[in-house]
Amino acid sequence: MIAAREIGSVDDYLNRICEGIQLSQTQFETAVKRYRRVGEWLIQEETAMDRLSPEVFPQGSMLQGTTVRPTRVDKEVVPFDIDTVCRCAVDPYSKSSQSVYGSVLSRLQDHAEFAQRIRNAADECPTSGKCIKLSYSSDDFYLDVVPTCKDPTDPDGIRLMMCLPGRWHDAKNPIDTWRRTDPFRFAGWLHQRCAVGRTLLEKRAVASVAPVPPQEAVEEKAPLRRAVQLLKARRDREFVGHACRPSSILVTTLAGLHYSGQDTVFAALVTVLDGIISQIQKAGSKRIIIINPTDELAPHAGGFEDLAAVMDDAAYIRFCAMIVSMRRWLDRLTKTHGPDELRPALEEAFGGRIAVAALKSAQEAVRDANTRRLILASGPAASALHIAAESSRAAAPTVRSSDFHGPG
Amino acid sequence: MPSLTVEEQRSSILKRYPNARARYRFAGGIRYLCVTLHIRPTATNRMYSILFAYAPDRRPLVWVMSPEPVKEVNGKPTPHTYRDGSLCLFDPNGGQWTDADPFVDTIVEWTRRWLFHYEFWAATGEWLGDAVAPGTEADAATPEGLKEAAA
Repeated sequence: MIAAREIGSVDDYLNRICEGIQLSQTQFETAVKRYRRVGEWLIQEETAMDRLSPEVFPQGSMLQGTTVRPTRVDKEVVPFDIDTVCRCAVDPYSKSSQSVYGSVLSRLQDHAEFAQRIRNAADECPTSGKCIKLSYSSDDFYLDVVPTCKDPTDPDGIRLMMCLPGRWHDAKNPIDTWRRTDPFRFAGWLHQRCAVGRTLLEKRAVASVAPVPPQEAVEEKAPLRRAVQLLKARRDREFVGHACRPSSILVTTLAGLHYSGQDTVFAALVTVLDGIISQIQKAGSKRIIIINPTDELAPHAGGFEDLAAVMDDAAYIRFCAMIVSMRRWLDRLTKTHGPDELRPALEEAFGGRIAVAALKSAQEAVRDANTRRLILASGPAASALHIAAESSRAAAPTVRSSDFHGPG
Repeated sequence: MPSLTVEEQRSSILKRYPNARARYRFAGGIRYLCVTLHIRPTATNRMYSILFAYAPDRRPLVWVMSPEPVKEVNGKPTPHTYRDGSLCLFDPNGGQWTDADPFVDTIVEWTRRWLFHYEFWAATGEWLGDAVAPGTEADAATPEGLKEAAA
């Protein structure tokens, strides 16, 4: 069924950009298949891992509905990471993260294909050591397996603990080799921010290899999630080739904090960017501090976690400039008239392939709506070509279809 | 369906487009209702001045007056135009338009859609507005001097 839509507005083109930057259905299904294969291998019974009762969950953008497909810019690749949590039933006070990491790594290395993929990943890119990386470089994918256990201090049993490899050699107690992470609450927080004032999604993740939520069509996706996708895609292009870049959780947190219930992706993006700019200005000569919204308790190491701290000064300055320039770019977008102006503007931000695809898909949408007689009658002040939903065609006066005649 | 009178067509256009300029002009011995409208297909398109000329029992004539339309891209002429430069908005042999159809709900709306596809064609050389193979006959007898008289 065709949903009601307006074609040709800036908002429409931003939505079409989102369609172009999120994983295609085929890429998404491939990612899910790879996640399931690895997950099923990890949870297989009667293996050395079995005594750790592992459970496998998706996390990150697959769970949040904010995937951004791999990008190539000037021969540099920004891959897509499938983030996977392997939660083991261990007591972090008595078992070090190094030991759990070793068990998960060993289990994956027992599988010839996964072992090769781990070796390939080690050759291709540096890792933080917090996760085990598998390379699917033929299509610019990586699958990250993050060994974790439950945080015993969380009464709800949702928060996790992940490896802190920097402490593997000097920690006095096993608990010191772990650090807190809360990907499920973070996904819940984002969901809550998307809904603004509505109820939160299911809190607790269950099942051994938890299913990946299906990928929503762009028009069904909350404006905040779409704004996050656009910010992440812009970040990917801006920081291509830079080892130090703002993390996805930082970008998502900033967007979620500043979003205030806008109905369109354009309005959401304007609000978020204005909010970040204002935050940067208020910080003056200091850097902004971005606290993980689900990190409500002081971690074992003491103090809160500033998500911006991982950026060096050069990366921070570059990030601030990117935010300001993206806001100006949105203003410019509203002043473009015609594809000859719109195309370079979209190309500048998201690349030629995405820009052309967005313009073409708008053309095709109008063509198809004409065939189906779904174009709504408009007036002199119409800012877009309004398309009726297939189901509501009878309720609104639509424009009769016509075939342009003469040589095409 | 009975045909709409020229006056009924005029009223319905002015009702929806109060800023339209409507007047009558004679060409080839025929009295035409000539209407100039400003149409911007969407917020991200340009504003166009469009001239419509209509007389009962005749094909409605539609011209892009300004900005000056692009005549060719990559050596290929503007798709879906007659030799006099007027727009081919519908299949005249397919019964898609008759004098009983309100001009404002058909010809004007089709012009908006034509402009939307035209701008993309002018920028890329690609016309993506056709669901069926385009026709081949694109000629029509337009009374000499009508466009100039109405402009």
